[in-house]
Amino acid sequence: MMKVWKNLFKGLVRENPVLVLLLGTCPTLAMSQSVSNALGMGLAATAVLICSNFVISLLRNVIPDKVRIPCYIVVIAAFVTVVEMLMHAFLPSLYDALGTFLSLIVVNCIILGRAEMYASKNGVFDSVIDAVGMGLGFTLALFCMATVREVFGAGTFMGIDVPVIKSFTVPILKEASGGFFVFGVLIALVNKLFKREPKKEFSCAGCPSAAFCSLKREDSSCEGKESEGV
Amino acid sequence: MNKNIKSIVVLFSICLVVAVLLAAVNYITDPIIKKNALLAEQASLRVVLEGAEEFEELSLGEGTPATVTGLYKEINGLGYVVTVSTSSSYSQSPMTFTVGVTAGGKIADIEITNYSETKNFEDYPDSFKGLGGSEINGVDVFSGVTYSSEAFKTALSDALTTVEEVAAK
Repeated sequence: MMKVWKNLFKGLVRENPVLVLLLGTCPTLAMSQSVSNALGMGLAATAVLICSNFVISLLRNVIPDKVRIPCYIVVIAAFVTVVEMLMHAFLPSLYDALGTFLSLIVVNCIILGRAEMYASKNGVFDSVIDAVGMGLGFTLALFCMATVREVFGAGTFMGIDVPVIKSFTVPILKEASGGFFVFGVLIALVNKLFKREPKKEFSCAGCPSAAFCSLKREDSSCEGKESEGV
Repeated sequence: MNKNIKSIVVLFSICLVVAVLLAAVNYITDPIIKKNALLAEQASLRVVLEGAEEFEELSLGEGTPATVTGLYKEINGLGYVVTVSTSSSYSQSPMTFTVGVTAGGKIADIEITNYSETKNFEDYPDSFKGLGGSEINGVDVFSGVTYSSEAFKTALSDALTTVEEVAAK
């Protein structure tokens, strides 16, 4: 039971896909201008992540290694299209707001990354729990960023005016440059609060190519060039 | 060889299942999406014809000016709504607008739906409210936006001519 909770909560903060693993940066920056859009994007990606992790984990022993990436992409694209069609039919305003970024969930690194790194190697239950944790982590990061940008950039929260702040907004926070600024501050804050040690993340074991790398070492050092800069 | 065949079979099977799943979801959502689009279109038409309830789309006959892109008749006989796009020779991004015409042939309201020029029209379209087809030329062009004003007036005149022809039938 403890393992389940650990698996679930690791995605929220310790291995947050956006603020720690730095995946899904593009939709994070684009969709964090308003809280309602950020929540919509986060939950849509979470739904796709849960479904794709479930199916990929279920088929992990059937899918040949040679065609695993095309298979993952087909599965992920299918669920994205399903979410897109359902949203177009039942939540048209959110569909319009998310625009092209909804379709781009297909190429969201978080989803393909979790399929390749976790769902293809673990059981169905663990993969779903991992997807829930990572999806909520993505949603949480988007929510935090959007809250800062919308409240201080536009003086509103979910479209409702925030008294006092409304008169002292910082409009640049709504722009791309403001988005990068808030993103950087949040990453720094998470690193400071949870005392992450970046070197460990970039060791051989943390490398996405670890399974295939001929230079892989068991200790934390890496023979590849990646280790030089960290 | 066997591995290759297995790869092909697995990938093909996944694609097949996905296609069936998408077809099923599309079967459920497509009518709702079309209904929503129709409601949104009807709402955009109601904006320019006060009191209108529902519209039926009329087919554009031969000889209809290229600037007229759609013609709708209010089912209770309140009037017509015409969707208009200015001539492509005016700009790479033509101005589009919706004009409501009363049963008496007068302009009820105009809603600009696309205008990408740098200098704005402001409330220029409002100066045509209540005018009939023959009175459009009497309105001066908007200072500083001469080309857009001319293109707008030509397209508006086309819209009213089309309505007059349909009403006369």
